Amino acid sequence: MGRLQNIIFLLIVGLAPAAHAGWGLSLATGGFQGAESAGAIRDWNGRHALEFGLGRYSYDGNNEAQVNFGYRYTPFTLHYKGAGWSPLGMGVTAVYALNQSEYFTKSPSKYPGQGYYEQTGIRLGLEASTQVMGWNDRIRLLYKVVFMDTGITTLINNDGKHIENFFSSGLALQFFF
Amino acid sequence: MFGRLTIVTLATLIVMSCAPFRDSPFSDTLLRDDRNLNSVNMQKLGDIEADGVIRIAVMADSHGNYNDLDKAIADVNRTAGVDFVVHLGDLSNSSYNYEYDQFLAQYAGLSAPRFMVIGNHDALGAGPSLFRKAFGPSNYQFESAHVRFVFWNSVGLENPEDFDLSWLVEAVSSSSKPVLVFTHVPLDDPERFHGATLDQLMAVREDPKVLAVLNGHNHVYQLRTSTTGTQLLTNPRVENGDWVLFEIKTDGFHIKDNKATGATWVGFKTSSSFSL
Repeated sequence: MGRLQNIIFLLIVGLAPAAHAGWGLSLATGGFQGAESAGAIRDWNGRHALEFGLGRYSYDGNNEAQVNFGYRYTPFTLHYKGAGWSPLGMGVTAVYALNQSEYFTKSPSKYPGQGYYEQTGIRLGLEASTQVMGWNDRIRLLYKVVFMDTGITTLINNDGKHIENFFSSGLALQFFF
Repeated sequence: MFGRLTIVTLATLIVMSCAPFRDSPFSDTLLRDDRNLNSVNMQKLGDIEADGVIRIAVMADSHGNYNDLDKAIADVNRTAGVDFVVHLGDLSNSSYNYEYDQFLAQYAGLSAPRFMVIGNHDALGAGPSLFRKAFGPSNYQFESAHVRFVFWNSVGLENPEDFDLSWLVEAVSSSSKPVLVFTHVPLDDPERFHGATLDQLMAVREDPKVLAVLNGHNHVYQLRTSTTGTQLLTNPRVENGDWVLFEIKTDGFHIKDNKATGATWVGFKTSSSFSL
């Protein structure tokens, strides 16, 4: 029975049609990509996707913008009667603060000494996701969890305590043309 | 194999769903609801001179060394009679909101009333706003029966809006009691203070009422005495749980780095008639 299950699984994965490929629009919240974010997404054969967009965040009551960039790999998608589910995607993400006077990529000259601070304006993250799709994969709802690079360092210094501080959930609605 | 993959996928989804929604690492959004902690803790102080000794646990520069911070907190909590705790700043590396949330989660573990000073690493980007939310204004003071404790924002390069030297001058000059100053950067820091600013800071430091200035920033333990007798304590960072017990007794200051074998006793400046 175990061997039969394996064969069925391989058939599902191997023969599962790829999700719809092409260009799309993504609207999202969370995931370290902004309270709200919007961007373009390009999908290749339903397995590889690149995203590029802008996100909004605020501090001190001021709205600020960040640039978001990401790559996602989705190994397989299961389809059933026009709906689809990609149970597990993985990827990398980068966020860049546009207001470089606050968070910067190069330590400003006002601070004592060159390189006084490490760069603070770009952060990288690892992402895991799951997405459901409909309408021939043209509409997708994606849930993701992003883990920031600085969290890797602090996890070592943290014995995994309060680990939730270094993760963020995110939700995205994508529409493919 | 299919079953294992399903289990792994479902387990991943369950774990994933525990992650909070964060907007951006660059925002001033805090997930924890701690607010105005310095003011809240002032209300918890009570009579800190009741036993004739003021015991202050001082730590600094924890940055992202959370295990070391936990060790220091556990040790402070085991120490009898601590009246209050002061963290002299640099709770974070880059002033990200999740760094503040992480620190606040651990800071809440201190048993005694606790007070925070802003450090330079806490004042980048959204840091000033995050600090204000969690701890309140970065310049504040309170008094016991015989001492005024002044907490001053010395990180003007990172946070010029809240850097207020006139506030410090007034906090010292208006006091009818001896003064202890808590700040992050040493008042004679050659990288940050020059000219008229340095002159004013030295005048504050040498004021007959100012008995001691405690700071962090340099990551090593150093005890100096100024020319007029002001004790200048630079607190070590919390490496391996390092912190300092700063006691004010009738005969002077008793200062013990918890990694050292003995305490250092120094008398109050002779120009002061202070006694508890």
